Amino acid sequence: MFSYIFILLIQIQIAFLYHLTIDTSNKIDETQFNCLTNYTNSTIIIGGGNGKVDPNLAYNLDQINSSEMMFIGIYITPSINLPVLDQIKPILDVLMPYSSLLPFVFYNVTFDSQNNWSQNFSENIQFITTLLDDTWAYANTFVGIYTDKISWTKITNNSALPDFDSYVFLWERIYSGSQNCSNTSTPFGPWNDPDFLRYSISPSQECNVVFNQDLWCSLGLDSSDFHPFFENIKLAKLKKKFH
Amino acid sequence: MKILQIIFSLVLASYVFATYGLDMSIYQGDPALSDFQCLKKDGYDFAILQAQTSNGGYNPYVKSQFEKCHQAEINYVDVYIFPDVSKDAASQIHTTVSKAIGDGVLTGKNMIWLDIEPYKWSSNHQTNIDFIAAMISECEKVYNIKPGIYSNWNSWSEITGGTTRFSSYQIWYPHYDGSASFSDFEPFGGWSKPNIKQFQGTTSICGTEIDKDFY
Repeated sequence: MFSYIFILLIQIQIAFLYHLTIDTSNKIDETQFNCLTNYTNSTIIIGGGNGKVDPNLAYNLDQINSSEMMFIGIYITPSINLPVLDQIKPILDVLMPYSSLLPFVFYNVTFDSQNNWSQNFSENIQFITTLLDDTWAYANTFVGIYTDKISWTKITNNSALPDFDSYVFLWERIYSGSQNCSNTSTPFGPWNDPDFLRYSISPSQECNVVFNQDLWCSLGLDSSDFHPFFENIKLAKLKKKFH
Repeated sequence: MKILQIIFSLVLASYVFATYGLDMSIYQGDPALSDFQCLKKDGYDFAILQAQTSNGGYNPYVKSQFEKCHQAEINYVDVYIFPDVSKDAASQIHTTVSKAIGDGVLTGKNMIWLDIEPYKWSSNHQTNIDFIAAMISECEKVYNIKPGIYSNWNSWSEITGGTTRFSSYQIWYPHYDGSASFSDFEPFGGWSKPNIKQFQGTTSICGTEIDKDFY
């Protein structure tokens, strides 16, 4: 549906410019969010759920809404053992009142939770495709996958997700320890470059919050190229901070 | 002043006499009996449990959820069916309803609700109307109790074009405004007065998660 917009985004000259972001599922109050704003340049990904709605999700969304934090999205750990809509809808329903803040929903596709996946590649590919399709249809957000090359190969046999029409963003787990988006295992699957990187295996702590350290690689886009969706995510603040 | 007192009394009455309930699905799995006992203690007196999941399968937990509701003295328990529009309407109803009867989840005294919300429906309204009609017909044939419909003005318009063909069936509508009141109801599909409202989505409570309902 919005595939032409994603193609436009891909074709935009991607600078080596990146910026730090963090991800966490810990409970964070408004003071901590405002404190973290300075550390992360306002971007954060928060836990959405792993088999059940993350108990901190509603609280964290409320605090983000009141804070200076810009927000990127949430991550969800899905399971092939449950029907797609039945497992994503409870989480996305919590998100709906904050939909103007939310550009991304990421799905955790790693081999850490082997029981969440089938041994049949086709089943896994169909499941992932349905996850992405249904999220797009239900919540109208951009969708992304959190994975690494080994996990993607083990779960999907390095599929390019041929049946998913739109662009799926890659949040790559690489643990290079380096704040450099060139340290990547791409190309693999449908991706030539990462959009986000988790570059450090060690959690960090600032503002009394423990979090994982990431990079937003595809930042550097000129604001005039932003899809209208991004215009809903406090674009003015982004421009002020980074341009 | 008297008018204000009357209005206040009516508003208060609507809250005092409201009956609160919950609905849950396969997503909640098999909550502990203590969760249901807690919900009962918190004032939830009815439940609507998912019998058929969003991919057309039978909820493997519905029997246990049903039994625990009753053990916790949540005695008014209905079920809902999430249609799989890629499969034959009558067959899936026959399969799910038969299984639910066999499990004791459909007792001949409780209701089936058909979940009509946007999910892979055809863009052709008549196709969808015919599908809903076929589900209803099979429900009445297998179970002999008129089903109800779960939908709201937006979903109903999108899926059926706003047909009034099913207005003689009860309506359970979702509108997540957090308010246990029918004052927000917007007449649609021939319905002018709702039967149940789902007023709040996924809520963590009593060790599980529920959607909140009332009538």
